[in-house]
Amino acid sequence: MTTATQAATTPVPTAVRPRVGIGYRIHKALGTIPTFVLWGLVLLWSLPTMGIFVSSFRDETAVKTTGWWTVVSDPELTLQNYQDAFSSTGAASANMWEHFLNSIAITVPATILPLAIAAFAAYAFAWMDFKGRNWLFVGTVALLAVPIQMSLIPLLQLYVGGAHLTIFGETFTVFPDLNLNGTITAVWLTHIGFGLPLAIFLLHNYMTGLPRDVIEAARVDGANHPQIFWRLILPLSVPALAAFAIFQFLWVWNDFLVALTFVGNEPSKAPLTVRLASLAGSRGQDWHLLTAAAFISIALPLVVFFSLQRFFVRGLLAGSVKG
Amino acid sequence: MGEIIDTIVSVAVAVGVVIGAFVAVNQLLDQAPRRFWIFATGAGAILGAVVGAAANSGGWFLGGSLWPIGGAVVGALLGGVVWARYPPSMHWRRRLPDRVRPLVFIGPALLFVGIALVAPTIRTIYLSFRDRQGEEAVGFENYRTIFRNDNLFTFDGAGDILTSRTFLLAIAITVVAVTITIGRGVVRERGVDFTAPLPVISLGTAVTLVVVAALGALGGIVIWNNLFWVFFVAVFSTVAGLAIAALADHARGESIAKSFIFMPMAISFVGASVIWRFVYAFTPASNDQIGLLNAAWVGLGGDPQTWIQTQPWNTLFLIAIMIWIQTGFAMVLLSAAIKGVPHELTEAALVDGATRAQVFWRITLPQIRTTLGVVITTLIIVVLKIYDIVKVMTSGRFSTNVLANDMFDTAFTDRNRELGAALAVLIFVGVVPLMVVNILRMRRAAQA
Repeated sequence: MTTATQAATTPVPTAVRPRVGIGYRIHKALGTIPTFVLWGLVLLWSLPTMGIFVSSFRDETAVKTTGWWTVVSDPELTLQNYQDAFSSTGAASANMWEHFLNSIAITVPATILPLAIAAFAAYAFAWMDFKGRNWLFVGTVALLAVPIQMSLIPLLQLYVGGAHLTIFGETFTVFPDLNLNGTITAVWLTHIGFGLPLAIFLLHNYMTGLPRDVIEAARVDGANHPQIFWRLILPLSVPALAAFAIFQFLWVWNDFLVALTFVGNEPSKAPLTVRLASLAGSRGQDWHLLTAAAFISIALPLVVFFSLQRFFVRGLLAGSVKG
Repeated sequence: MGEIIDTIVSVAVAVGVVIGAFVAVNQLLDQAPRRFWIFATGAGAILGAVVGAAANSGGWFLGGSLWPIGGAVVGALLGGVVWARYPPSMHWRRRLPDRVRPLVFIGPALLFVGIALVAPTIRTIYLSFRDRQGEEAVGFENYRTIFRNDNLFTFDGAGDILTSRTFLLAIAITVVAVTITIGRGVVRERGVDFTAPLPVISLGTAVTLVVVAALGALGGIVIWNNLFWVFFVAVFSTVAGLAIAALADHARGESIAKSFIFMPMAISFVGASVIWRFVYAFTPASNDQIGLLNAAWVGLGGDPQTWIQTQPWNTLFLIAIMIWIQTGFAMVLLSAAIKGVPHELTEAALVDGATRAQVFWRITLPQIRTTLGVVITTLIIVVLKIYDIVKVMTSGRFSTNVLANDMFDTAFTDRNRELGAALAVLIFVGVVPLMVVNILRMRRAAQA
């Protein structure tokens, strides 16, 4: 222990003659290679996104005939593409504003509701004693990996016609036909169920880590479970709640499959991802419009990501097993 | 504006209902010991509403909501008037809140998870054993249909792997690496060490080359395509993530560099696909290239290529998008793990004369192997159900189809739900072993 730290911290004696031979110079030059490689990779990773960002501000003919990197020598920029992408009239329109609102209408409830429901459940798994607690929790963790493809067919049937059970010739409605197919409600309701396992898992892990003494003390003072939950656990769990909220926000905002399944036949209800995919299919060569539309759909997640990256990383580190 | 107000209202109502019901039921429970009549009325109303809803087995037309409301009123009366007159013992009433409370806390979660995940999973498995009308059980017929379809699964052409040049190259690399490793062990008289960098890296390269050979021979067949996706994304995202995490560790501007590599994680698969379609864009050789890749290719003297249509290598260009996204994920987890390796260990090794490369290979890597396992299992789980990228890039054409895309088309476009269910179950079966691994790892972590 002592030798290791001493050797590491002791400064090089000044009496040693500085080595400036050719070998040392080569060695030093080689030492900078990792830095070059790192920043080379960073550039490589950023170029594709930079490409659509720059192109979205270039004039239609320019985008279609010259590479976006020529913007360096010919810096002529326009906001026309964004006007076309947002507008709801005209041949070039993509009506992205409406779909932006749809995305918001799906994402907000699909983020808040699982947060509340999961907080109740996570508290119970962490601090209540009841039969079957461990098995239920393991079951929840197991559900993390279940691919959502397993749910889509039955859920669509459920939203179209409800669920009915026939026993002894008598048909019972287990779940009513609420006419949910093709509605935004169907999308966020579904996301609640899909988001819950991860939410419960993350919040449970955080809540079990809270100091037992504090909770025991509250209990001795006569607080019951709802009081401990609202007054003690919830305020203490804000970091974990924030981590999950960001995770779920990005997940729902970026979701394509769930939205396509339930509102795919209802273009006016489509969120940005579904709209962008259909634009890519129908107007795949209109790069001036596609780049602007793509950037509109990724702008909000990027803002959230860069401003709240700390929480996102925390959520990722705590439970990177989502299916 | 109307939509915004609609949204705000529906969100407020939904959140209010969930939290309000939770608080109300908890309050009711608290009333059981002292003011039993309140509890009896409330419990009666809730039970009555549920029974009323269930009794309304016909259609849930608008008037249908009268059933649960009527049930609630009748239940409240029965509870408040009849049950409240004959309250159970004080002992029972005192114990009741603690008994029922766990159910109140986890009930809502169980309800949603049950409806959205558990029941559908069971039903999908059930559907996969039914015929197309869903009327008769057909055993494994749907699965037989899948495995007999040469577009989905076949071994035809597997023999070509053995004669391909990449395979021969892989054999050559293996022979050379094994010879050198054994030779070195004999010369240095320290025993043969297959965990040294040279044999591990060259054998890893050989395996990758064999998979590339397999892609050349079996690419385009849906189930094989899925396996190629899993292999390439798991391997390359992990290796790239590890390399970047190691390079960035304590480098200047570390957090900025990591942010940029991590950024694609915030972009939807659909957005990423559009971004990369632009990179792969093709224009005839007579024009300027607008796609970055073709511009670079032409700059190097090649002819412009239609990257996403040229089989079978186009699958690799789609896979590259996923690697671009997931490398950031691998990097974040591995970087955190590398920073968690105790300094005493690495410092001691450096003092003893180990090079940085040796420290990384012999100390850091073994120390972070649990995280490596987490990263790889998570990547496999995510990639097995890959859908969006294939859908947006090619719609599964040009031999790039994968299971999830075929499942969606079969179930929802062709309306063959039962066969679609069988395809979904195949994805699920691929995930199950990883699910078990995850649970075992968590149990171990909980015990430690």
